[in-house]
Amino acid sequence: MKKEMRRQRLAIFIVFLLIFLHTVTKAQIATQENTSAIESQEQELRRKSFEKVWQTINEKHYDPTFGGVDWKKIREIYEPKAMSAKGLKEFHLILNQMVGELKLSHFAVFENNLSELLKSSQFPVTVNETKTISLPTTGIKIKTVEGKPVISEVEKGSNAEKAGLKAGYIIEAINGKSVDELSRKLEEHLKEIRANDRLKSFYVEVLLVNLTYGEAGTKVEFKVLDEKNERRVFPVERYLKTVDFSQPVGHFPPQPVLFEAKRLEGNIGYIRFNMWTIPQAQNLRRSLKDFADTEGIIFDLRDNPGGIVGIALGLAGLLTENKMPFGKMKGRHNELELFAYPQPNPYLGKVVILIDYATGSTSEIFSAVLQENGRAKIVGEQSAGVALTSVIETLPTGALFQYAIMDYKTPQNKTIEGIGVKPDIEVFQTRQALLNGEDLPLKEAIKVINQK
Amino acid sequence: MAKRKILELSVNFSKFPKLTILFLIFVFSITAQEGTKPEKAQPKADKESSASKQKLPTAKEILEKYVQALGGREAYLKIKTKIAKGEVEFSPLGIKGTIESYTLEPNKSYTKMNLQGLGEFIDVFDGVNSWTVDPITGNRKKEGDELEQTKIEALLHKDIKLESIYSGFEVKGIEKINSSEAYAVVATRGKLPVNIFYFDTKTGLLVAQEGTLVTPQGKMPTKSLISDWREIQGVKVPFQTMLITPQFQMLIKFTSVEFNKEIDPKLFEAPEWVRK
Repeated sequence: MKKEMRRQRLAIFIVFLLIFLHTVTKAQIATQENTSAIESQEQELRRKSFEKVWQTINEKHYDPTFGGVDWKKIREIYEPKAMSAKGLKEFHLILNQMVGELKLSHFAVFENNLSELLKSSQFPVTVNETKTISLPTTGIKIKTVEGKPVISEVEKGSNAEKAGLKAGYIIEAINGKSVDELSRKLEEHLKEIRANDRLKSFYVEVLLVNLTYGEAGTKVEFKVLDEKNERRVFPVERYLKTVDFSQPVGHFPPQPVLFEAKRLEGNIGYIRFNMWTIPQAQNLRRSLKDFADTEGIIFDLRDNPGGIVGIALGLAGLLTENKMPFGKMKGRHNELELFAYPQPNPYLGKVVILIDYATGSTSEIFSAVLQENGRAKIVGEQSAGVALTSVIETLPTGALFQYAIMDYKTPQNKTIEGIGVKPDIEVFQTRQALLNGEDLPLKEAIKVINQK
Repeated sequence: MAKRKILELSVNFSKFPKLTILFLIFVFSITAQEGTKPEKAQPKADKESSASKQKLPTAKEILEKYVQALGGREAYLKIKTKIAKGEVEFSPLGIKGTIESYTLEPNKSYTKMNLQGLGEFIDVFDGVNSWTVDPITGNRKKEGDELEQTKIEALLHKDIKLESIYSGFEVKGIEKINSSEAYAVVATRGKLPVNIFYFDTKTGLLVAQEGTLVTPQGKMPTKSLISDWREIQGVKVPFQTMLITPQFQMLIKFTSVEFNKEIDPKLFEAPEWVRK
C-alpha cells in the first residue's frame, strides 16, 4: 500500500516535471496517444541525464585515471541498464550504482530534491515565511555504540521521554523491522561500496532513523533492550518540532540549523552544531565572542557531516593570530593552496575537538587542520573519511547530481578520503556510560582543557 | 532477487535526509575565492585560422584601434566616476545574485556582490590598501602580488592606458573567439603573470582576456569572454562578462552603467583593522 502511494507520488512528480520542462498540458496527457509521447519525453530526459552524469565525470573528475576504473567500459555496462530501467526511481538508482563504481564519497544522484521533499508525506514539512519548518519527530537520537544501535539522546519533554525511552537502550526493532535483519541486508550493499567499518555504523544508524519517519500523530514502535537487558516495546507518537532551516544556496538545498553553545563547569565553552551552513558562521562568531574569557572551548563535531568549507576557514581564522595553512585541493587542471587568515580579536585559549565515525568532510578537514597546526587536540573516534570538494547540479530529470571536482590533502599532505582523521586521544562512548548519563569523550575533552 | 533487494535499500538511502547531508558536502569552497585555471577549449581558439596568414598589425596599432573603438581618449577621460549594477550567476552551482561596482578616478574601487543564501561579499581598494569582507571566510587585507594586481584592476581609465600599464607587448597571431576573429596580444608587467588580450579584428574591441588571478590560494589562471558592448555618453562599455575557470563559470550581466554620478567617498574608507 505504501509502495503504491509512493508510486503515485512519483507519477505526479514526473508529470509535474514534464509540464515544467516541456509544457505538456492536461488535455495532452489525457489521451492514450500522448501517453507514449510522455514516455518518449521521459526517455529523452533520461538520455540527457545519463549523458550529463557520465560526461561530467569524464571531463571533470579530478583524477583523469578515475582511480583505475575504466570509465568508458562503465558506460557500456550502465547505459543500456539505465535506459531500460522501470521508471525514474530505478533510473536514478542505476545512475547511483554507476557513480558508485568510483568508490569515492561525494558522488551521488538524489531524487529527493526540495520540491519532492516538501511534497513527500514520508517526510512532511510546512515551510512558512520565517524559513522555519515543522518536522515530525519522536525525540530520540540513534548512534552505534559498541557495535549496537543504541539510543544516544532522548530530548527533554519529547514524546520518547514521556513514553519512557532512555539513552543506552539497545534498539532491536523499529515498527516490527528487526535491526539484525536490516543489518544483514545491508552487508551486501556495503561490501559493494567498500564502506569502512565507521561508514557501516553510519549507514545502519541512518537506516534506522529513516524508519522513524512518518506523519505527525502516528506512532513508531521501538523494541528495545532496557538497562536490565529486558526486552520491552515502546510505542511513541510522532510530534511536530519546529526547526530553522538555512536558505538554499544554488542547488544546495535548505538544511536544518541546529546550534548549541553553553558554559560547562570549570568555565569551559562548549559548541555543537549540526552542519557547516551559512547561518552557523554567524552563530560561531557570536559564541566565540561570548566565550572570550573561558579556559578553553570544546567543538563537538560528532555527527557533523560537513558543509561549506569556507565557514571552517573563517572559524580557523578566529582561532589564530597567524596565517594558518589549511591544506591543498587538487583538480584535474589546477591546485589551490588554502589558508585561514587571522581575524580581529581571535580566541587564543585551548581548543579541543570531539569527533567520531559520523564526523565527515568539512568537519574532518577542520579537525585535521587544527590538529596539524598544533591549535587543537582531537578527542574521540576516528572520523568517517569522506573529504572531497564537490558541486551539485540539477539533472534534466529533476534529480540532484553531486560530484567531486577536487581532491583534498591536509597541510602535512595527508589524505582524509577513505581514511579519516585519527584522534590524539582515542575515547569511545559506551552503553553503560549512556545509561549512567555520562559522555566519556566529553569528559576526556574537559580533562584536556583542565590540564595545566 | 538479491539484486532487487540491494536496489530497494539503495533507494531508501537516497531518501534519508541525514545521508543526504553527508553527501551534500563541501559545495561552495570556491565560490568566495572565484576561479582557477581555464580549460583551453573555452573559448575555442583556432590558431590556424585563414586570417592568421595576414600581415599582423603591431601591438601599438591594435591598442590604438581599441582606444578609438572605445570612443577615443578625449571622451574616455571625461569619465570621473563609474557606477555599474547588474546580476551575477555562478554555474554549475546555480548561485545567483546582484553586483554593484563603484569606481572613482583615478583608482578607487568598491565592488559588492550579494549572493542568494550566502550574503554580501565586498572588495575595496582605497588607492593604497585593498581588503575583502567575506561573510564566510572572514575579512582579509590584500598584500603582495594580489595587491599589485588590484592596483591595475582598480584604474578607472585602465582600458585607454594599457600601453603604459604593461611594460611589454607581443602580437601572437589571430585566434577565433566564438564566431569572430581576434588579435591575441600578450602583455607583460614585472613579475606579475602575463595577460593575453583578444581584440576583435573588425571592431577593435576587447572580446576576451586570458590571465592569471593572484589570489590568497595561489595563482589561478582565468579566461573572460567580454561582450554586449554598448555606448554610454560616447564611450563603449561591455555589459556582459563570462569568467571561465576549470570548475566554475561566473556570468556578470550589467543592467545599468552610469558615468559621472556622485559616489559617497565613505565607500572607500578603510576600516580600523585595515589601517592597523
